[in-house]
Amino acid sequence: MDGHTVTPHVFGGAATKSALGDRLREVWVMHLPSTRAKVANVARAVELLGAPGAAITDPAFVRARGQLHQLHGATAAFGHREAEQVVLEIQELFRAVVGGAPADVARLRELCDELRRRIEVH
Amino acid sequence: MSIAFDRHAAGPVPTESAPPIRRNGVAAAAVTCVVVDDHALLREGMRLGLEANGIEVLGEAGDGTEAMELVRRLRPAVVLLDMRLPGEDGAHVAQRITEEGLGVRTLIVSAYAEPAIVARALEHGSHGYLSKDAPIAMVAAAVRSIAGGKRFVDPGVAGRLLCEEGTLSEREVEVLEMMSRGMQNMTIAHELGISVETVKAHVSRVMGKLGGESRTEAVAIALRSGLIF
Repeated sequence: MDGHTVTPHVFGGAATKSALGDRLREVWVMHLPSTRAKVANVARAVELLGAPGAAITDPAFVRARGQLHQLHGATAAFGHREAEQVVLEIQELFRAVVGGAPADVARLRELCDELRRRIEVH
Repeated sequence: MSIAFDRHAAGPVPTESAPPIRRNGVAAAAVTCVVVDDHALLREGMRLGLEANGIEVLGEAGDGTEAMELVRRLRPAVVLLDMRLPGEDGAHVAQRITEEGLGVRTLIVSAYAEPAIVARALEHGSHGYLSKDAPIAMVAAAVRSIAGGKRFVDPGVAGRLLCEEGTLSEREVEVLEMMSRGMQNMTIAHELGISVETVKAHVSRVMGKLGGESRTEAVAIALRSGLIF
């Protein structure tokens, strides 16, 4: 961690200091271990893509794509716009790989690191 | 996953499994719903947001099978469905719910906003479609609207759907613009040089495509979607 912090917004809306906002922040934090695990799975899939003989049918890559979709929904719904943008870029690069393009592993690694930071709430 | 999991007994441990039925002191007359999403974080956030907006969340499910079981047992007014679910997708679950004739209506809440996916959900009988980044107040409004027998499509999504798929013909857009200026069918017919019956058919198709229950609502949706200015 680099100390970067994220202030979560009220679910799908503008940030407020409401009780609902506090509860939602608690929920986000409570689920952080699971969210971190999903990001870790995505990062592992990126490393697989960089390995010789990488296949997009690899179950780890398929699972990572599914978890990226969940991360997209979660970051969008909880108003983590920066994290959502990072997820969208990873999804775009994954789609390109599925479409036959070589994996931009260096960029994907950067994005995974960025995502790790963006999901943290203190 | 099992709907027998008891969240209260197990304590606040995050899990991907769906928790049980819940009633949280929301007014008895509140609109009721069930939330279906394979992501526990999403279900939890959605439940909190809906309850804060006066919607009673009767239960949560993580997949279509659980959803069907809860719907049959609880008969909520509305089921909120993620599009991407394990096993069968939200559109298919919406279709099954409609086909069972339980009087339960459905709203897809999805991260997908691609027109083809939205169109598929609506074609399968879903009564509404919202993006996951929709403000929770809009989600609650959509649930109320759908529970009241109306349809509700995220304005941004509706705009993309109609523009990218070209499902509104040029003539229909013309009619829509005239409707937005408050013109009645006879006036529109005179202006366009077509029969009143033809105008009525255009108006009906426009309302159907936009999901509006009235001329005014259709115009409002079109304005919010940027289809007309």
